[in-house]
Amino acid sequence: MSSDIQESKKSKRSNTASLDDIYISEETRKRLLYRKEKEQKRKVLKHVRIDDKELEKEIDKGVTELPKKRFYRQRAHSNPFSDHQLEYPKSPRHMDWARFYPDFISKDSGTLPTDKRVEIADIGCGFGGLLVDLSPEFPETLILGMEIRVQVTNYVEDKIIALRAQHKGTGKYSNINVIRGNAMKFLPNFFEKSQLKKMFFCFPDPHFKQRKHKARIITNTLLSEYAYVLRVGGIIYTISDVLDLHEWMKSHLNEHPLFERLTELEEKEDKCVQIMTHSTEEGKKVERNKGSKFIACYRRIPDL
Amino acid sequence: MKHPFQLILANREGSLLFASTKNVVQVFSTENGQLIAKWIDPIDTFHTLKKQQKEKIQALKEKTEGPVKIPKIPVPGKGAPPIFNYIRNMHLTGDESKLIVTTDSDKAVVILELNLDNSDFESRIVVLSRQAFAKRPCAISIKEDDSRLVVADKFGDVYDVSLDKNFLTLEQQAPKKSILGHVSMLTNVIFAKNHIITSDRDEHIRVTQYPKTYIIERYLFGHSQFVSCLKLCPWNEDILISGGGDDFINIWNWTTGDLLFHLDLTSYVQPLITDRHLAPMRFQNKEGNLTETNVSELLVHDHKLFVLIECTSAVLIFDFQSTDNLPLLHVIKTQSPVVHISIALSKLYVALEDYTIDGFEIFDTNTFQPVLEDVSKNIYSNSTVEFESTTEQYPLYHVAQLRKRGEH
Repeated sequence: MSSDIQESKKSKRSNTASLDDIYISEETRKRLLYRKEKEQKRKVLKHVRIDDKELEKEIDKGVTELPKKRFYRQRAHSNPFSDHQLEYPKSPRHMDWARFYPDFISKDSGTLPTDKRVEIADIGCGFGGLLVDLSPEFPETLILGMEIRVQVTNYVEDKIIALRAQHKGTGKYSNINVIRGNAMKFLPNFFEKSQLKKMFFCFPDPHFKQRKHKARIITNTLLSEYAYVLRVGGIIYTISDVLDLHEWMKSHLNEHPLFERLTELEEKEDKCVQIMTHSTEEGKKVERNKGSKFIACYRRIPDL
Repeated sequence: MKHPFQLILANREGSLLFASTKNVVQVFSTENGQLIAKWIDPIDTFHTLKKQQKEKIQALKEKTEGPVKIPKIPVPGKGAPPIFNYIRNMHLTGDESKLIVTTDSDKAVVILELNLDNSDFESRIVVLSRQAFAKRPCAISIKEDDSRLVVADKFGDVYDVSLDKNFLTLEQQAPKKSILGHVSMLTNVIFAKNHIITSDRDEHIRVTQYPKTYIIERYLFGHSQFVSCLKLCPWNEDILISGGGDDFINIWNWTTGDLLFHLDLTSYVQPLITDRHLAPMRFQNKEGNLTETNVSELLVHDHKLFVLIECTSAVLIFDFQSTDNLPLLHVIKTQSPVVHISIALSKLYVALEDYTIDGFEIFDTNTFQPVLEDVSKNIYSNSTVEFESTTEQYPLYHVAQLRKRGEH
């Protein structure tokens, strides 16, 4: 794997003929070509209605096939504290959400109806398994994944395009999309106060080293931001296979004054708990390895 | 050579001038320019390195039987960046009995008791409390009744500290638990009635309830670059003024979130730009003429807004009679770049980048003319902080480095 990376780096320093560089392995060449083709299709298809007749010639076999995950691999970690060249809106009202959910554009106004706002967010959505499984369960609700890793985001975008193309004419999977974004820093730039009904934190990075606990996705201070964007009654869903992280998340949510734990029965009966337990890539991996899954869900309560 | 004042602060009636110069706080009388008190940060340059050595020894002892070999203090080699033990932030308590400063030497908040009438020069400033924090404090704010202090650090956390007299005399560790946090470096924090307003490097201005700091009330969105200055309007504390890396200043009603006025500075700043405002080579445009300017200080006084653009030889003054419009009243021009400004009563105090005798000036805030020139010269000539080589001089301008450069 590391030799692939080295070759990949070398090819970046070469001229435009790099794809013919004899030192590139066949697998690397295949990956680079695949990524290039996917990027070109993505540009055309990711912000438009798949049903548009003018796009028919763009919908070829490559588009309707689900993307191949192995071509999107990258190192697992991405530092949320760095100044990535990530785009983020100056404020929520600067976001053009119609580009992400074009099927929901009102024919009259040409924009999204005012009551159509993102209401479910998957923070750190990974390869998008939860988004895909939530989509048919909440077909009228706009759902957004936020992911900081560029290749993983590209994979999810390609997957959504493929699913929309496979279900052309039905409107399926039009209610999900993904954004490459740093939720730790810029969540309030994307969402208004009290906008969200559900927030998912599925198998977040445990950051085992003590000095990295500031980088964990659930902290006292980040919870205040989640309470800001969640409406009263909205729910935070957490799931992890790391017991220490699970206990950390529980203790921080328990001590935050704006959250209360759902009862055991409520958790059991919530269909989102079932969905999130089985739909993510990490969830499936844990299942295959017969590991444990720890779940904790909390409701946003009124300001005290 | 005289070292320029990095930070200045006048007391309420303007009888005293506090100046942070390298690792020294000097107090001058504005009546005659005399130096009446001085505090030198006693923490030495290698404090951080020694602390690391001590921690290393402790770790070795815990896992080694018998005596341990003492690890050397790494001596910075040739070409290592110099260490500057700045005294950043200077705030007077409401009763002006204490000066609160932050130090880079040990990342501490130091509370200094002022006894300026004491006949013994050495006893006029006494350290009441010194609390070292895990991360460098970037900004502090004192509650109006002098009961509490909030400290904002470069990691994005805000801590709440008691200023109760009994508390201060105890040997207290800095608080471990933050009351609120951002994820990026905090640049400012201010107490505003029952709230705390914070700003960060990622263009955020956040309004949080206090003491229920787990409730975020609102964000004031509108800046495109870091926010470095936050000021409340003294005659209407619902009004907040913000500025930083943008070429504009925003004026808000922070209690409602409304942007009241957007003060475009472009045309006023353009004539003040020099080569020192050129963007670094790596971020230049094709023509190599890209410039960047930053608001480094805002003062609101007597229905006027005083704006300092970093490393310019000018102070911009705007008419602040209303929030509908802020016309330019005057531009004070100086002989050398302005490092910092402060205001008391009807005097504007200006610290300049000068190395001989003209490093300080006083202007009248109504006529905008220089006044008390002999006092100004006395103050600067009475400063005891000097340096001989350029390596000893502390950098004077820090706001520009808050600008983000894209990584990947």
